[in-house]
Amino acid sequence: MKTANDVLSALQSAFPGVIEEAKVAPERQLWATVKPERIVEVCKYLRDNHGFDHYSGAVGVDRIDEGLFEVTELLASHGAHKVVALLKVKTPRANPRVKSLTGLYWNANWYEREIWEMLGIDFEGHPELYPLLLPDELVGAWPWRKDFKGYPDVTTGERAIETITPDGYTKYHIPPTQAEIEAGTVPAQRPKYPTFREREEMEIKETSEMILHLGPQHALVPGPFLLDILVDGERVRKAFLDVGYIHKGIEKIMENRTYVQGIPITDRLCYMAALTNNEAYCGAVERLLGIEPPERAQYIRVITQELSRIQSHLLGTAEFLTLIASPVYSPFLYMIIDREDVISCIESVTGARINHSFVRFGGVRNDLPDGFKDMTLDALKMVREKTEEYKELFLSDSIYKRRMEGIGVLSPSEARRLGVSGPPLRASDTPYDMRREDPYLLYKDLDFDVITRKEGDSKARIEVRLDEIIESCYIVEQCLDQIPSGPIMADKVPKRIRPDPGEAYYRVEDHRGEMGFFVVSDGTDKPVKVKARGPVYAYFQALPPLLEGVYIADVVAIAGSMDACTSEVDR
Amino acid sequence: MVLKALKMTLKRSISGVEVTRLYPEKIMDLPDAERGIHVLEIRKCIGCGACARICPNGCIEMVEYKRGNPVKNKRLQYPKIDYGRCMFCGLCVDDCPPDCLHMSKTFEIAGWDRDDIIYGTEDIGVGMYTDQELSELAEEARKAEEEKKRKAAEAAKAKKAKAAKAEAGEAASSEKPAKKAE
Repeated sequence: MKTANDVLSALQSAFPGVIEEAKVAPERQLWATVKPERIVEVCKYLRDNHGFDHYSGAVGVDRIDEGLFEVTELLASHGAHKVVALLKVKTPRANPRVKSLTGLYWNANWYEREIWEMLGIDFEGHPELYPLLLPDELVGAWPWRKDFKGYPDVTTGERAIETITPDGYTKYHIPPTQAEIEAGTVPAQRPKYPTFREREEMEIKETSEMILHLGPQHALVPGPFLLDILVDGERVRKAFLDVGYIHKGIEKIMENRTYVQGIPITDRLCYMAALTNNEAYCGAVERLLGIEPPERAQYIRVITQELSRIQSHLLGTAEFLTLIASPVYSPFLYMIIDREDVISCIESVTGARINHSFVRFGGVRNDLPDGFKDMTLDALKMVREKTEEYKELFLSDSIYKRRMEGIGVLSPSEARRLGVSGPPLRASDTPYDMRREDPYLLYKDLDFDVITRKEGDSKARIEVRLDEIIESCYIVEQCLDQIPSGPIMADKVPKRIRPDPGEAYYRVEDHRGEMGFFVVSDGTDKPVKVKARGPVYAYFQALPPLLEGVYIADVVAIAGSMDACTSEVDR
Repeated sequence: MVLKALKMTLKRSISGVEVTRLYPEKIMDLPDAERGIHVLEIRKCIGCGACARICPNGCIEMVEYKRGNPVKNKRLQYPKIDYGRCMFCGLCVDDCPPDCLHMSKTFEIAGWDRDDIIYGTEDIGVGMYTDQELSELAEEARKAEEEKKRKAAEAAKAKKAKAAKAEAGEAASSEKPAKKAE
């Protein structure tokens, strides 16, 4: 198995003088600063020769003191090895330009678009630099920059100018001041590009085609997003996705909070995955602080997170069943009833039902209550029985099978190319699971299987979820047997959290896939940058190519089987 | 296959699992860890304001509460919580140095007015002082204040005397090298 040091020495011999600073810390993460003009070649070399076929995201950081922007590209591999490469590119703040990786990795598209609209870094060679999360009129304000003054301007108190368009809409615009135009920090002219509506209408080629809107408020969606499908008769020819309807600016909010105050904010990324979001954020800060939670705390974290996985998969499957057969409401309610017991188990530890805010730096908030073991074992026994029952029903139902088999097939190579993770990737015969790939907490000592399916269709995705429920039950039972007594907080946790300057990246297996937090510290009590790399972002990006060529009726079956969460995409 | 599904439905319907509750009449059993509205042990609070500082939403305000303990909490500062903003994260409880802020199992805080969900110290406090205790405490505080003043005066006196002594000593010591120089 390749180690990070092997990759680093190979890189240094292949590109002498291009790799500026490099370190391996912790053991599987390779941090390197690459000269901006050679980044594409370096990534191509890593992809072709060292199996880095998974583009996991990009992070843009504004280093205002040094007059630089940093873009960190996160590269990993689907099973060839366990090294994560974090390649940093620096670009001057005055004229920020970075070469785009969209030619190498298809899914770099959205990550780069987001950095462009938030920081104003121009990605050379990007095919479609259009706003993704922000409304059109905010482009050019570059809200992630540290000198962004708010909208309307909160520091000067100047209001945005209101104009009424001929169609009756109100538009807001903050004009740059004369000094800013002279200094060149704000573009006098905002970039011109076609709007979302114009872009999709450009694709209409024949009179038999029309655009069908699903959303932003639609029964099929787990939150507001716009899915427009261009249909020719009963077939979908092309799909367009517009997100950003509930962009909350969570990452920017966390820059203005202390480290501890960031924990409850991470719950709000996606309430179904509150515990794993807590874990990812706290794990990243623990890496910065150099502390490790005691063993009992790690067990409690694993138990609560696996219980949370069970309830999330149950609700995900339940929602999916209402989508494909909306008049049949009983399966949804059955799963909600089962989920209730699991939620009660989590609530007895964390004290809240969905927004837990439970994990702390170096430990957990509460210890397990008395009688927790019996209560959980009872609930797990029930869940396991019921899940087996559901599986049997799904297997024996011929209508369900006809509806789901061979629908929305993602072949293994296609799934890897689109960059999805979690159950949809594992349903496409790729055993990629962070609990094995990047073992955090105790997962390296625990016995469990990574569930995979060969088919890659909607049915396989649901089966993976149902099997994972049973596997999670097994993990929780193991932990309840093995859990030692001891403290639940580490001794060395400082009273005021002020990590040393540096960066940390920590990823966990969310219920939906790979969830990573990238935290940058400058030695003060507030983070410089927090980036959440969510799994659903990748699913959403993969939806339009997946929907091409299917029937309208199958759109819901495919989109529903992804178990999406818009809140996490928009952040 | 249809029979199997029917069997399952039938089993579900006669199994007698409690699904819905008669909510206002019958409230579910809440665990001890439940994070409901706050309870403040007024006899322990020292008015440090740690809860107000850590609150991510800024919903806690330190206000003056007259019926507090002037010995322990000199400026009589106690928290007032705006539940319109509170997200029940529990960070304030974790951070409380004397461990006097807790979260109860009560969660019913609906009101007709925005002011109804702002809870002052008298609403969240437990272990209130009686009038007699308050007067005793006021007396104690007054005595402590007097004692402090007396001590401060004494200390100032002693300091003055010391300073005078030191001055004299300094004068003496400064004379010595002068003598040596001679």
